[in-house]
Amino acid sequence: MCKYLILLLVISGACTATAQEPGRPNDSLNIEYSEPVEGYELSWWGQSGRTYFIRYSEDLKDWFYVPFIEYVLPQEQDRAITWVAHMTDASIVEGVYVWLPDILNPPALYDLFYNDLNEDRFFMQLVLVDSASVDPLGDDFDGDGHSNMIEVSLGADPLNRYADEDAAVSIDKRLVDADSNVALDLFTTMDHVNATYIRNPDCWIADIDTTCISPWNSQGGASRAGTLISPRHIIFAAHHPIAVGTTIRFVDSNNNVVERTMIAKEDHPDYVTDGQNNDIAIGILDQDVPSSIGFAKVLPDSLIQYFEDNVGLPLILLDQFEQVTVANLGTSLTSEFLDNAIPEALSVRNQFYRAKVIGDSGNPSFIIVNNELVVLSVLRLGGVGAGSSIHAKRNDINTMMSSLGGNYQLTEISLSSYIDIN
Amino acid sequence: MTYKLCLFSIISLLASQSHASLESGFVSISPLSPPDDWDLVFTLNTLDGGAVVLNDNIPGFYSASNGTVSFGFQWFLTNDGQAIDPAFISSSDPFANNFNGTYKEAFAPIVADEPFLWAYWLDADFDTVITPGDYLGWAEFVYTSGDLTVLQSVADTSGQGIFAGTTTVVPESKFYAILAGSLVAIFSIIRRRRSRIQYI
Repeated sequence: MCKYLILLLVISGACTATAQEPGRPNDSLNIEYSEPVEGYELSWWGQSGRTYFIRYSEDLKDWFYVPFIEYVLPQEQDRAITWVAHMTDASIVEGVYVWLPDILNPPALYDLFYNDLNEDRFFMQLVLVDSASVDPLGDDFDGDGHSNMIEVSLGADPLNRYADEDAAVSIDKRLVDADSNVALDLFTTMDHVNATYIRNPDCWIADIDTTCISPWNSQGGASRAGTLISPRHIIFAAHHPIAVGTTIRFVDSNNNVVERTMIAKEDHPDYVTDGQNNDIAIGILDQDVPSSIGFAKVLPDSLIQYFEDNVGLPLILLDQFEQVTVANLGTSLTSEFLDNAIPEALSVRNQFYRAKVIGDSGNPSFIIVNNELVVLSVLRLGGVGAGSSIHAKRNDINTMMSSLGGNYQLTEISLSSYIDIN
Repeated sequence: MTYKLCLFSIISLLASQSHASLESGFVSISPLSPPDDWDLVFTLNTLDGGAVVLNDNIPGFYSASNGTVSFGFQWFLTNDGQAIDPAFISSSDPFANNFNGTYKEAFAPIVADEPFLWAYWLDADFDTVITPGDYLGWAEFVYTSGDLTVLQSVADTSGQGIFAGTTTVVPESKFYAILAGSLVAIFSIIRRRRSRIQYI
C-alpha cells in the first residue's frame, strides 16, 4: 500500500487545467502531464452521488484495484477529481482505457505494475457506482460482508462477490487489526483439570463461532485434537487416534463446558495402505451436542465453480495450545493432500504463523466463508503443516458417518451467493 | 512381608524388561504422490502411527522432508552391530527429528539392491526422554527398481536398546542398576519409618 501512496497522490476536489468537464463519456476521464507537479494527472469529472474506483491491468483480463476510493456525496456539488501519478513518460488515449506506454521510471512503478520489463503498457479504468451512498468507504457494495475500503485495501474486488476473495479478506482484514501478542490464543484461561475455560475476547477470530473446536479430551489432554463436523461426529487424524470411550470436551461461546463420550470410530478405509492421503478418522459421540455448540461445514461439490487455483490463500491452523495460527495454502483447494506454505516474511500473516510441533497432529485447518469456519483438513505433517483434504474425501467421510450412525452427513457451505467464475 | 513382596515385584519387573522386550514388523513404507516420494510409517497396534516423508528429489540420494507430529521420533543412519541405546541416540545426528522439525536433504546415497539399516527412537510415552516403553530399534531396507521396501524391523522397549541387525538387547546399563538400588533404598526408608511409628 505504501507504494501506492508514493505513486499516486490524491488531490480530491482540485480544479486543475486538465480536460475534465461535465457531460463527456466515462465522466471525462483524462490523463496528461502536469509541469507543476512533474507528474501525470489522472482526472475526471466527479458527479454528485457517485463513487469511483480505479483499477488497472496489463492485459485487459486481470484487473486490480488501486486502494483508493473517490466519491462525491449526494449532498455535494459535482467537482473535478484529480490524481497525480508520478510517471515520467506517457501518451494519452482518452476514454475508458488509458494507455501508458514507454514508462521509464521510477523503478518502483515497474515493481508495482510490471512483472515483465519488456511489457510497455498498462491500462487504467475508472469504475463508477451511481448509488448515492453517504458512506462510500464503509458501505459494502457487493454485499460480501467486507466494506469497500477494506476490499480495495486488500486487493479485492469491491463490486463483485467472489468466494476466494471473501475467504482471503475474511482472514486478512482481521489480522490487520490484531496484535499477535494477545490475539493468537482462543482462550485466555484453559484449566483442563477443573474444566474451566474463558474465551479470549481479543482473539483475532473472536467474532466467529469456534465452538466446534475441542480443547481437551480424556486420552490425549490437549493433544489428539478432534473437531465436530456434525452434532454427533468428530474428525481427527487416524495416525494420532482417539480411543473409543474417550471424553471429548467442547466449550460454547459463553464458556460453558459440554462433554461427550466417543463410543465408536472408523479410520478411513484406505488409511493403512496409503497413510498420506487418507489420514482421517471419524468418531461418533454418545449423544448430540446441544445447539450452543456448532460444527464445521465443508466445501461443496461445486467448489471449482467458485474457487480458482487458490495457492496462497490464507488459512487458519489450530494447535494443541488452541492458538489460532495462520499459514498459506501451498496447493490447490482441490488437491487430495493439502500442503501449506509459510506466509511471506514481514507480512501480517507471517506474524500469526507458527510451526506445528509434536502433539499438534489432528488439529484442523479452516478457511472462513460467509463468516463461518469451513474445515479443510486435519493435521498430519508438522512444520508448516499438511493433511488430507476433507473435501476430496467427503464421499468417504459421509460413508463413514453413515456406518457409525447418528443420521448426519457433512454439511456443505453454500457458495450460491458468490459469482460463478465459470 | 508386604513390603518385601512389593520390592520383589519391582525388581522382577526390571528384570523382565531387560529380556522380553522385543517387538518386530511394525515399520512400513507407503508410496506417495508423486511416485518418487515415500512415507516411512510406524504402524503399531499399541501405539499411535507416525511417519516420515522421504524422497529422492535430489538424484542419487535419500532426503527427508517432513513428518507427523503425534509422538516424537528420530531416525538415524546405522550399521550392523551398532548398539542403538540411549548413548547412541544422544550422541548421533538424526536425519529425521520431529522434536525440532529437522529433516535432512541428501542424508544418504541411494545404492540399489543392497540392503541397509536405519535406527530409530520412538518416544512412545510422549515424555521427550528415553524411558522404558519407548522403542529403540532398527529397520532394514532395500531400494530396488525405484521402490524402497522394508525387509524387517525390530525394536527393544525396555529402554536399554538393541544391537543393529540383531535381536540382542543391549545389556542392562548402570542407569537401571542405580534405579533398582534407589528403589531398594526408598523402600527400606519407608519401612524403617513405618516401623518406628508402630513402636510409638
